[in-house]
Amino acid sequence: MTCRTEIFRAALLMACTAIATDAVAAQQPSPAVVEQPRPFGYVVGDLVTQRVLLNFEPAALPPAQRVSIWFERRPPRIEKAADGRRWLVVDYQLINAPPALATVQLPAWEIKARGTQLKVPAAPISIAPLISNASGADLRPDREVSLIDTAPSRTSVVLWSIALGVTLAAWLAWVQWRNWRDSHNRPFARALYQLRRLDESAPEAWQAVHRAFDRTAGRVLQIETLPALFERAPHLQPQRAEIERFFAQSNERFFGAGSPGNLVSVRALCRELRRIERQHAP
Amino acid sequence: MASDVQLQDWRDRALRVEEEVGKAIVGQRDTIRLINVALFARGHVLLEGDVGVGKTTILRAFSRAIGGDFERVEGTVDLMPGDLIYHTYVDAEGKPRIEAGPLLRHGERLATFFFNEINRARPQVQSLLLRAMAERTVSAFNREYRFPHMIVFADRNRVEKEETFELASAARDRFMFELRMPTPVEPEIRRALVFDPEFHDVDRLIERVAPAILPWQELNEIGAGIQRSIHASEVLERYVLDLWDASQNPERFGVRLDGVDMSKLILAGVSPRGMMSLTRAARVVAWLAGRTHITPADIHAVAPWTLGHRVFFTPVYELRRTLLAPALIEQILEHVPTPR
Repeated sequence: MTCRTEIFRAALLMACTAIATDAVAAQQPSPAVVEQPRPFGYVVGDLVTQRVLLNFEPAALPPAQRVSIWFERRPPRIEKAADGRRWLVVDYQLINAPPALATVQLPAWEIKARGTQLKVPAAPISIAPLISNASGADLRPDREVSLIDTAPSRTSVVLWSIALGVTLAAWLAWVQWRNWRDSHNRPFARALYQLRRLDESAPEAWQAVHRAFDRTAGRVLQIETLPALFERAPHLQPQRAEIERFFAQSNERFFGAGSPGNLVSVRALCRELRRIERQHAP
Repeated sequence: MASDVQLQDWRDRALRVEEEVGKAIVGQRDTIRLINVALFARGHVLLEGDVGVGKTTILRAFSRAIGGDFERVEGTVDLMPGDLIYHTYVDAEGKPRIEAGPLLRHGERLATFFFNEINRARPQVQSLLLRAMAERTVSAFNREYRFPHMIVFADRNRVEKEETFELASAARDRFMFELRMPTPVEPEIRRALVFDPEFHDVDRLIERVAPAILPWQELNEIGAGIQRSIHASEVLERYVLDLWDASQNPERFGVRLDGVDMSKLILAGVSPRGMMSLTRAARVVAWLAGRTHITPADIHAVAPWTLGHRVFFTPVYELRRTLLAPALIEQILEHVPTPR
């Protein structure tokens, strides 16, 4: 009886040991098949490429980030080889230059998947400065350059500057002339010109605006004959409500009981009508 | 100055007159309004139009609505001034008798004197009428007869020219309005006038108008009350004076007529009496619109009818008056600026 119990206990112990060993083995990352980069001959800016054989679907790819003082990892990609195997290709860029020849470590990292891990070991990389500190004295002197004659260029710049100045002056003169012509030819521009020297609530200011309406319509206008204005100048339609308000207030002011309250701003009205008038000028 | 209540009361009556006359006359709304304006502005009216457009009917309708005594004279080539003043005949006993003629017969009760086809009457008759219209008096039988409430309505056939006497300019100036009565153009009104038997019996048509709506004895006072109560602003006064100026010198205001040498067109502009008529009539228009002030629109409403016959053209253009006068007034109204 005691002998059978001992045998059973031993078998149980062995089974437990085997299960425990498998669990530990599952938690430990297994080494990956890695094609490490060439370990020498790098300078700042060079790309260092690491290839890892994939025999499972990784849960996540390593992020693009700076991984040490020397290297920055770029977004990794998966390539399929001609034999059907899939490789994870990870590029690192060397982003610092050492003062002298040095060996630095490409850091180790891991790829995780469901139930498994692959460990990518660190790789020593030999990197070099672009120039040696000690060889500064041996640098080739700067190449001597011949002086170019800048006189023609200067003359050209001066001439073009004068031409630009003359063009700008001519343009300004044209703008001034156009404003002057507008103020003498176009009804509302002319009225606005007259309003510059008048208080906008003065009777003379209102009369000047009336004359502008008369000239636009080609006849003397009253509130009852306003349709003649919109027949002749349909582009003034958008301002019809304000124009009718002006004529109604004018009627009250000049022929009725006197100035009503909340008078129309004839300057604002005239400015808006001048803008429309200019847009529709022949 | 009349109170607002009085003005409103008179206005209601004036509008009632238009409504009543409108029962007998269709398609002549503007003519009815203008005759009504003349009535309250106390001005005489000369009505001109084609034959059979209803000139006589409209004037008869007004006479009935106004009330007071009504007298009617037919203008004929053999009518003499005396025929308006007295009537002579031999009575049943063989004695000659003289009685008052149509003008004197009603005395001061004469409210409407209707002169039909005035251009058929001789100039002597027209001259007598001039005084009666201007002064509302006539001298006869060694005394003066007064007709203070009389309004003269006259009509003139503009088609026939034979055996007619064109009114002298002084006679035309006595009329506040010279109205042109058009033939209706609306198809529905034309159809009704032709086919509706109601329009064929003029006497029954006139009977539709309510008689004596107005207190005819008070019309002079009402007219004066209206004139005192309706205000004309300084700007409007300037406008009317400019119109007056333009009737004499239209060129000054940029008035142009096609095919007319403007410097040779005008012989005489509108008379002071004409401008008085214009503002009197404009005040009534403003009153009928319910306002207490005149606007340029009121002036425009009556200007063609008060000014058109008062501008006198040089002989070379006088023959074209029918065309030129309305065009000139229209151009003046379009070119004289206001407010100024």
